[in-house]
Amino acid sequence: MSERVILVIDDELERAEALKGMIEFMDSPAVRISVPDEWQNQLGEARAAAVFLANGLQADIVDKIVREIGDIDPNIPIVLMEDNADE
Amino acid sequence: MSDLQATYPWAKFYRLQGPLKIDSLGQIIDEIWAQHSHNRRQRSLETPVGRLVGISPGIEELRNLIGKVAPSQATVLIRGESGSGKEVVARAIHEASGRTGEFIAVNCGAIPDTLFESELFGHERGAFTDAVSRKLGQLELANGGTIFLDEIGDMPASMQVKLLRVLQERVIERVGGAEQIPIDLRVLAATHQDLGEMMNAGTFREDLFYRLNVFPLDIAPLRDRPEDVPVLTQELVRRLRVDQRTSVEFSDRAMAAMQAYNWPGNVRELANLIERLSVVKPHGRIAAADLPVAIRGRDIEAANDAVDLGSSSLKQHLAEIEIGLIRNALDQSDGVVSRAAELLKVGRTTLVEKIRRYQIH
Repeated sequence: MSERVILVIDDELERAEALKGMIEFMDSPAVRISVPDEWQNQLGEARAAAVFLANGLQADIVDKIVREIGDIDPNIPIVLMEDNADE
Repeated sequence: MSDLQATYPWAKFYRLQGPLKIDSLGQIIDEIWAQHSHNRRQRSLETPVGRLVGISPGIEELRNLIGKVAPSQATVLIRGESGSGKEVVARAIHEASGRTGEFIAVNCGAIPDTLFESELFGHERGAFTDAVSRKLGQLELANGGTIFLDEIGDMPASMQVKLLRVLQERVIERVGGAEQIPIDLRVLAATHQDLGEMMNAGTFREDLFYRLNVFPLDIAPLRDRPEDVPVLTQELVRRLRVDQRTSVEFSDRAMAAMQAYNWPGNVRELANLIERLSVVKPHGRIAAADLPVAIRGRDIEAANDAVDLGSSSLKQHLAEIEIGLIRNALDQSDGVVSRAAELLKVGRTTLVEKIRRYQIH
């Protein structure tokens, strides 16, 4: 069975790596998705346990990702990073 | 993003606000994994095709017992009539057990006696004439997982003693091999036979019976839980809608007839019936008249059921009744039109014309 990982979808490298590092510090596998539109390709064989969506992603991209997550498994939690969560 | 929850009410959104803090992030991470654990357990008990779907006390009790026995290592003996869903229960136990290995199902009634040992234990190259290479047996393939021995009552006596040894010592030996291979197995067995009676008759080993019968689970036949027929039907129809894009529904009278039927083939027979009906009438309302005679009986009320339906014209109602009667006659006559015409007491030419007009296949 393929591994479940937490996705960090964020095109800002430094912010994404900081969050990914914290998630991994909590013993949870995490993958950074640098091209939001292609998150499924970048995920590869792994399965999403949860998806963190960075603040500032374009609304249409967020909509697309949420719809695609719903098609795969509507139970996958989606964490919306808001305001100064990256500071 | 504040409108997202309204746009996608099904989605499980969390919000992480303000500066990123380890506490708030940790809380969300914990919730995520707890939710996954819950979903996995829920899904494992929501097994496929109408199998553990049901509202009867018997099915609720079964679900409850599965939840209790699944995480243990106990050997389970599943008893139930043919088509009642014994393999489904076994799969549910495996999925809820947390065991990471494979679920391997073996139908003991389908393996010739001469191949049984090789099938179950595997063989080394050259063990016998046709053994051109090493082959792993089903027990070894299930190592780390679950082996499901269906129709265990059909297992030959010579194999019963070998299986007993596996259960006692947790090792196997391939045919033609000398190595003792330790295995970590969960054993589930099923039967539609009375193993106790077989034990008394000397056709099933007493010691094996007690080894297997650690935790017996009984699946009630469908005829004893008619309240499950509507929910099973609903679930089966839903699956067909997804898989085959059909949209059948059943009239109240049709459902009443189905609930009154004794279902000798149990859930499997119900699933087959619904699949067949959805082929012949993929987007309509199934009236009692559309059901096989064995289910709806021959009473005229059932044949008149279609009159209760919808707002279509008398002509349409009559046509539906006629189509149902023709289909039943064709069913009973194995598709031989002349015989169906005799049953319907009409001329063959008339029937052929009606079949053509109604496009009955």
